[in-house]
Amino acid sequence: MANDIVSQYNKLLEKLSNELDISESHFKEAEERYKAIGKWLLRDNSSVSQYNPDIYPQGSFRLGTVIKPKTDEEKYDIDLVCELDITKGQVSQKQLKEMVGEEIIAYAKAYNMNSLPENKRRCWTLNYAEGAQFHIDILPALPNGDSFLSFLESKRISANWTELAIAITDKTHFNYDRIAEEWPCSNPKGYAEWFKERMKTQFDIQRKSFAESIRASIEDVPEYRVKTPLQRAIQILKRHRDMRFFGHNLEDDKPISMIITTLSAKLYQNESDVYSTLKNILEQMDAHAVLLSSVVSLSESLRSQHLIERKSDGTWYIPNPVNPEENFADRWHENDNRKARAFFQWVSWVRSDLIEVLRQADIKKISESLGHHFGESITKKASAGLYIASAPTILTRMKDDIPNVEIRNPSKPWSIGG
Amino acid sequence: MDNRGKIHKHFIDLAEQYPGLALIEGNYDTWIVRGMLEFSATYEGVSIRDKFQIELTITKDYPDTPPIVKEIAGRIPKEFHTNPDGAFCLGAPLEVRMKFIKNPSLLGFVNEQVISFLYSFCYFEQHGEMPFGELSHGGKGVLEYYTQLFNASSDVIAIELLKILAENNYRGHYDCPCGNGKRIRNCHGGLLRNINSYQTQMEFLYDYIQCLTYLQKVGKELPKSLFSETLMNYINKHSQGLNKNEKSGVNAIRIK
Repeated sequence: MANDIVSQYNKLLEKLSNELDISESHFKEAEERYKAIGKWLLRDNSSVSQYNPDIYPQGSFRLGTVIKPKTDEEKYDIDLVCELDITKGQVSQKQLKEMVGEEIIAYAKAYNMNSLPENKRRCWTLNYAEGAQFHIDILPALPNGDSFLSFLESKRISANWTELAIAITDKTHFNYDRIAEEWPCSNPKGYAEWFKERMKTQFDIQRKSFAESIRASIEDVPEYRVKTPLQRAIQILKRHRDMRFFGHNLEDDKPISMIITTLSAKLYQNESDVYSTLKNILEQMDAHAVLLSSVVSLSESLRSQHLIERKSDGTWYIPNPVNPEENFADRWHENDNRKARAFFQWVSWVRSDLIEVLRQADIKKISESLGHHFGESITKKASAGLYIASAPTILTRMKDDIPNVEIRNPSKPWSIGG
Repeated sequence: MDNRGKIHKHFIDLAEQYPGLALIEGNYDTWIVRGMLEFSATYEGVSIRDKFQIELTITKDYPDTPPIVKEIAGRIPKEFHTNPDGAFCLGAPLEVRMKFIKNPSLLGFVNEQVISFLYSFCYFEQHGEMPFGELSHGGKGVLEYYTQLFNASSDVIAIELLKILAENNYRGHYDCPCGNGKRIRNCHGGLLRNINSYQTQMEFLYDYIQCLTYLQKVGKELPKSLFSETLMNYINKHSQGLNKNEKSGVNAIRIK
């Protein structure tokens, strides 16, 4: 019986994550748009085509953890990298930003967009017309694999996927308008590889079983169609965060997606279902809450995970797994550790909303309670058919036992001709 | 959930009961379910067990529109209630849609409509007669269906009721065309409003054209109101997009 409810709950969580997915048509639209930008940059009289511009998605779009906006009025943020084959000896950050910007502006004009692209701190933002549910951020970049590796080596840090690193521009950087060797750097492709590696076992299993269910070969199943329990758990956690902090006085300090994604992926043990994945992730996150207190320190086993660290000066450290120099928690100590407190507050919320809710003996009650945290309509959709599908009698079918259909109220066949 | 996810889920439910079927992604947002459908079905105590190679085409309007289903091994002859393209005519179009919308899933569709059709065919093969009867071909069959649905005393009354939907001109306080003296709202109104939600006006108009063409062909004397100006305007306006078959129906009315 206890197992029954866990498996029903798992189904519910799985369906909930399906509801959070970007729709196929939005996905295709986004894909078409970024491909159109790539084509534009490569067209004959493009001023950057000689640098083989490479446009690719980064962030949740690339990781398969993107979620629908809470309402139809909100937009998807699509993050793209525009990498030019050029070196730091040839251009300054400012020049690179403007080279890409010139083409993006020309693109916006050619396609009659309502407003010109905005020149943000690190990226260009394309605002599509009313009705389109997208913002597109384009991050100008150039390859930085070699110098990033030597940089890390000089700091005696080892990291994987350094060859995929890029140098990016930042209007506030001290080298912004001069040719210099030192640029801000990033590694979105490397991060995506790391993320994929973290869930590889389940990814391969899910891909194989999806292929079998549609009787296709594994290679025929595109990667984006496969969703692991880790990806589903992250989608659920992100939406829970958005809903729980909405209108709350800690809203501006809610945990960023990169922290949720990184910690979840680090803690993931290739569990095969969403509930166990969430349970494990949340328990381990919660165990770190003692770091808020200055007198208690982490147990040795937790410390060895290097998940969340607290330095002796009270600052926090959650490293980017492919660039330990980047600290996702660099502002956690500000305002009396406000962001850290918001994070651990949220962890305890999710634990009670998603894990302890299972104390309810009835899947109907559980889905009602999820409705409070995820919105009623989305939870209703997710639980549709669940009560019937998981009726207590699960029929196991003998090989040559074909279920009989009782024909009731049959139609009279017809035909068009005549 | 997006449509791909929904179709995938619906397919899993279907394949659990009919493991010989496979789901294949087609072009232009369509999906195909193809393979061996092995079933056992009972009607009034008579059981039939058989298997057919079938193909369901799921269009991008799914689940607002039911799948299209064919038999692909050539066992069911073309003359047996199929469209020119081989698709099964499971029943009158409105009926197929109404049944599907009540349970819009692949398994529901197969169990409630496809299997009864296959059962009909098997029974016909064995006994030379149709177990649930059959509708006539074309407009005549559609009219038979509406006559039965409206429980109308004549086919002219059935088409007058259908006209209300084809014209999208429901007025509850008018006298009901069935002639029993009540206002529509106290008579056929509820039924009309109910079925109106299952098809678009265009679809009712098309059914109407078919029925009217048939009645004209058999030389039935028809009230002038069936050729109202509103209807003729609709027909002219929409006939551009119709296929050859449909156009010939439209022209037959225009000639009048």
